Amino acid sequence: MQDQQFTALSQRAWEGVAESANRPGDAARFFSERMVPRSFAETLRAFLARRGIAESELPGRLAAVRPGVKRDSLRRRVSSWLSGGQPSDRGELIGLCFALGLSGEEAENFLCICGDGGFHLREPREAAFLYSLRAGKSYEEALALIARLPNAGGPFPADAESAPSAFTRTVADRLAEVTSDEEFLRFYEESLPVFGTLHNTAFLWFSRFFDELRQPSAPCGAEEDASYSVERAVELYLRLNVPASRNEKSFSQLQKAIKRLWPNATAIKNMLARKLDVSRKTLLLLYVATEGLDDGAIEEAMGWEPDSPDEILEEHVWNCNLMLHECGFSPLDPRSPFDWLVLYSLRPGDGEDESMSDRLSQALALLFGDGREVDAESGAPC
Amino acid sequence: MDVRTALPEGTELRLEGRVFRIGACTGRGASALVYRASYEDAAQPGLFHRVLLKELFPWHPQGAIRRGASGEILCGPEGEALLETHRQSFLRAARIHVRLQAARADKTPANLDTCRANGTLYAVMSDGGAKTLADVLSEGRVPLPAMTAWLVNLLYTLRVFHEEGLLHLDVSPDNILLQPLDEGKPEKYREVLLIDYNSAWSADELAARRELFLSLKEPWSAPELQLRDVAAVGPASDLYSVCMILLQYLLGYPPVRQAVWRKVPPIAGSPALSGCSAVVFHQAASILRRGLKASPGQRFQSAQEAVAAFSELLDRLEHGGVTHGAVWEASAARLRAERSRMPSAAEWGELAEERASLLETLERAGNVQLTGGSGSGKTTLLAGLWLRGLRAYSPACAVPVFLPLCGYDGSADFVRRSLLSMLSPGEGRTWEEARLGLERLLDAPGGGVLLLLDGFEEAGGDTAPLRAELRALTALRGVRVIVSARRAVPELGLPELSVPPLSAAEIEAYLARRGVELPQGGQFPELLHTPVFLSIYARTDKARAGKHPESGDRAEDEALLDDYLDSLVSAAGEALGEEAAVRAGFAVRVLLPCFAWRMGQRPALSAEGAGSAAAGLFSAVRRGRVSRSFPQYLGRNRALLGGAKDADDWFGLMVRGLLERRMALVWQDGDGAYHLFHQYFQPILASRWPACRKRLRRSRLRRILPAAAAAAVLLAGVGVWRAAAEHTPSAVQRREDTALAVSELSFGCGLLDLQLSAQDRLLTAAESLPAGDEAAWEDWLEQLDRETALLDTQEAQSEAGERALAELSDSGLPLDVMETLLALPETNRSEWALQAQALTLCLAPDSPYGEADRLEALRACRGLCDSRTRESFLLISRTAAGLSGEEAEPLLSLLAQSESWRAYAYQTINDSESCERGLTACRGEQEALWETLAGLGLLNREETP
Repeated sequence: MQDQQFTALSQRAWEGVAESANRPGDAARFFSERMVPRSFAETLRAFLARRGIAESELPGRLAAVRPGVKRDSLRRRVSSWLSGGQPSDRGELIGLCFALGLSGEEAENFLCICGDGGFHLREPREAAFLYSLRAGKSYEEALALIARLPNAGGPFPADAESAPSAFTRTVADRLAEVTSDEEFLRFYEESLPVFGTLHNTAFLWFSRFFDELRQPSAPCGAEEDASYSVERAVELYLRLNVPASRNEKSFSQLQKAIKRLWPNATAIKNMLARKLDVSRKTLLLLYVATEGLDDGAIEEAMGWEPDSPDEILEEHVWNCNLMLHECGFSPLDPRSPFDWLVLYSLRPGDGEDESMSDRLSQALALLFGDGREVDAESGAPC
Repeated sequence: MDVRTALPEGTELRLEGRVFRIGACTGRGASALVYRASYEDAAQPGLFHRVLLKELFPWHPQGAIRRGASGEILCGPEGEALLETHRQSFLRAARIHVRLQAARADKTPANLDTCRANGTLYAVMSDGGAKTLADVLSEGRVPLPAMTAWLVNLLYTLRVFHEEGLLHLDVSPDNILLQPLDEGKPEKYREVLLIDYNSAWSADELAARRELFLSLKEPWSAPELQLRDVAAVGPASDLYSVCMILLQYLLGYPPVRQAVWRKVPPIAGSPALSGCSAVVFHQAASILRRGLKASPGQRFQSAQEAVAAFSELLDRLEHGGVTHGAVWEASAARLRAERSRMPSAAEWGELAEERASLLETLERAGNVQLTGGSGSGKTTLLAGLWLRGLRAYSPACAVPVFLPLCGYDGSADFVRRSLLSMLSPGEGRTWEEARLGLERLLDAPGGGVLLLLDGFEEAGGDTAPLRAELRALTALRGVRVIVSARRAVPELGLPELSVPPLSAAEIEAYLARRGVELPQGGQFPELLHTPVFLSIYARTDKARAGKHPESGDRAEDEALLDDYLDSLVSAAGEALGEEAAVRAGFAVRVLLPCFAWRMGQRPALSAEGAGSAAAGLFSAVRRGRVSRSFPQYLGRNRALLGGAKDADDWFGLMVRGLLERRMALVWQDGDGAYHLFHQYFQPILASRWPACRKRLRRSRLRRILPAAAAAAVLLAGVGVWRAAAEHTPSAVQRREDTALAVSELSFGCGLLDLQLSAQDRLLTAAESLPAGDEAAWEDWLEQLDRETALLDTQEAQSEAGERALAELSDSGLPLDVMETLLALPETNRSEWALQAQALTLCLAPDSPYGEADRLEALRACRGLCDSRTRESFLLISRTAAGLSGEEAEPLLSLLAQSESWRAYAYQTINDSESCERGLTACRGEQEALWETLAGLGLLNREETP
């Protein structure tokens, strides 16, 4: 399936995962020398081409979305994006969807590629934007619709984050049937009890994974009869040789992309306390740390032939993508630097019996050159 | 909430000029309602046809599509797009339906027409009285075999779909129809159909589209449908749904996706699987593991692949077929049966644990012969391997199969036939298919079979065919063989592994685990390094402390055995009372030795033999001979009889109740034959019987002498017995005397049967001996030695028989015939020795005898063997004819079960004249045959009988 889905660059990235299978050194080399990360400029140009819009037209289209912003400023912004810059926030990405005249589905796709995930439909404003894009409304009309929604910016009911039906996919199913403003307003009223800003499905997965790490008796833990503190669990399983330093001046773009929003103990605590949304990166790191909640013991006990490394990778990718889809996040992208490293760690080395975390940690140690002695061939810390 | 209003029952709906009377609404889907309906036959008023009507009536969340007052379907502007989408889908479904019907009408419910009315569409379909799987599952528990059979048939239906280039993509319990089935017919014959083709797409359509109208139903929709990854959609998507239905059924509720997260779903507690074997569980889990993979490429790729996996599950549930799993199940069933029968089985697990490292060595050893003296623990080790190998099922591990070689019948495919006899070909398959299946299994790499063949020496007769079969088996990829033998058998060509004696640490651990005191001084006597003694030592009452055996000679074996038997007797007394202790003492000191003696060299005593032995002793007890013979039983006759009314009663009390159940000193195999708790003790126990017998006989004499009133007559021989018998006129006593005599005769005839069978085998082997072949000649000589040695160990018991006959001197029975019969085993033994000598002379590779002489000698010996068989049959028949039916039963039963007289099974000789004629003819032909041998110069004439 992967062959059919990807472009030549993505295909090269996929092949890089298999080629680096056995040696973190190879992974680091591929990553540094041959990896062509997907840039925002590349995505933007692709969508402009698909919609038949010239690059020069974009500032004008953006002016319609952001009437208060000067044309020059918009031109500079577009120029910056096309030469390696990134939009500063999600609002700007959603504005671009309107400026590009994207359909609802295209906008979902655009957000997935550029912003971690599609519309978060339990957030009323994002639901209104998606409905507006589907209905062919302008950005201005979308804002007007949002203005008609009482309390669209929250605060939302405290128990909304745990209501049984408060899941993005449930809300998405209901929103899919909405075809008029009146229906949207009715949908909004009906959905008020379940609106919220945090991803609930992601939180469920997060809890499942993190509980496994804190109570490491089975199946993934290395020690018995212990319950780790958040700090200890983060240090043991999520630090993975990524420097804690906030000084990123010396980091390359790739290193910055990897390190960006790397979860620390404080972030995890806030996620547990539902003060911070569970990020896609955190979820994937937890998947790696818990081996996808599978230690292979059942295969051994049942006497099943183990799957080949490629089969294991493929199954993990499908599972990860299903999980990400359920949470409203974008699927794994081999041209995203972080995702590539996750893919690298998901594929066991041929004949090697090492954990996903070890593989990720060794590759990161080489990529960040943390000063520890590392065997250039195997990547194992000496 | 679904607010769609169904058409009221009784509504008359006109479709294309025909009036349909609407019945109950039986189904509601996202796009349509389904009604039962009927219409009148055009030519015969009053005759109604039953149909199903499917009405296009999509569900709209805000109710934009609704029913009008006249039953028509109304649609607001906001519902138009939805209605149109469903309309197109409805029409596509009808086209697909008709296409499938044309291809396979048996797998497709009939679609009769599509009509426009009421502002919508109606599909007219046949009503075969089927139910949906969803309805059936909601009605109650469906047995796993039925559910599996339905899913197999569903897969066949899906195969038709896929062969037509179509994918259903909405396989769920509410879209599966179970057709009616004749009462009593197995569920595997129930036709299972798929309905609702709204989501069905062809492969071409899929390839051309990026967007599809799909019905997504949790949990049955495959991951690629959830991710809308059109490129990945294929047959595996439908097969995922079938596996999800199986999982839902096993769990008892629809699972969430997380439940199948790269693991075997939590089916261990499934009520449907409770009581099923490990293989069934494994097969169900294997189906789910593969069928529910997130990655479509790793699932079943075709319905046929899935059919094979589900059919194997069905086979395992019905115990049919010849597969790795089937052998595991059969071996496990045999293990369960053996563990409940064999007394030593209680210790298999523990001893296996004690010797875990030895077992591990054996598990890794490849083909091997395991050697060790009797009692060294070979059987326990093999049983330990058997037990360990069956703890859990794994297709990657060899299935251990335990086969005692005492059942060896001389055939060239004994092991294969033994394996097949444990299996069943499965319904609709022949034994020939089963045999081929077994050959495939035995030669397949991977798991395979571990043959644990116990007791090579117990394989009677010519073992050359067995050895040849083992050599062939060890060459196969799926077979490993471990044979136990007392001494190495070089002809097996297998490396030898001797059972090492138990180490001090092993003994210590074993005793400590049982809380048994260590021998004084901490030194273990030699005897305890042998597992059987250690086991007995530990089981023997601890009060025996201080009487530990100190060395390994036979007397100490006996001392330990006596300790053990005493402890059992006293335990029986404590549990059942003093009278039971008396019986238990008699059972272990008299009855058990009698059994052991009757076993001879064979590992078991037939049920008839055991019955006959017990009957004789019952008679002795009843007549007071026991109390006269054994002072400890004076005045204990009542206790010894234990209220038993007859010999059968007493057998139940003594053998089944005490020896088998209470003390576990004997056990009965699947054929009903009795084995001792350990073969090691057979010679020791057997050696005690002659003394017992002697005492019993003396007591008989003492009883007879006063009645005859003349001590001197005792020395006069048989006449005395006849005279004495005149003084015992009671009919009861006569019956008992007859029973005793018949019992002795039966024993003698059993021995004769053994002799004649051995002669037959030896002659058959000699007849196929290639002239001048040294190796074959050596083999034959070896066979001759072995068979002859075996027969020589049997005591003909003619003395006891003669005395028994003497009791019947005035009974009117054909005593001359019976006496001849009684003497026949001994006669035959000596005559066979002469024949063997003659054969050895003429068959040897360097013999001066030519081919013609060899053949003539062989023909003569064969003739003698046949004639002796005929002669003995006549004697037995004549004897039986003079007895009552009940009295003759042991002899008739012997005739029916014997090897030698099988050919005469349907002949009866009742009159003495024809018997005499037959016997005379036999003697005539025997004389002529002996003359032939003498004429060839193979015997001296004076040697011939």
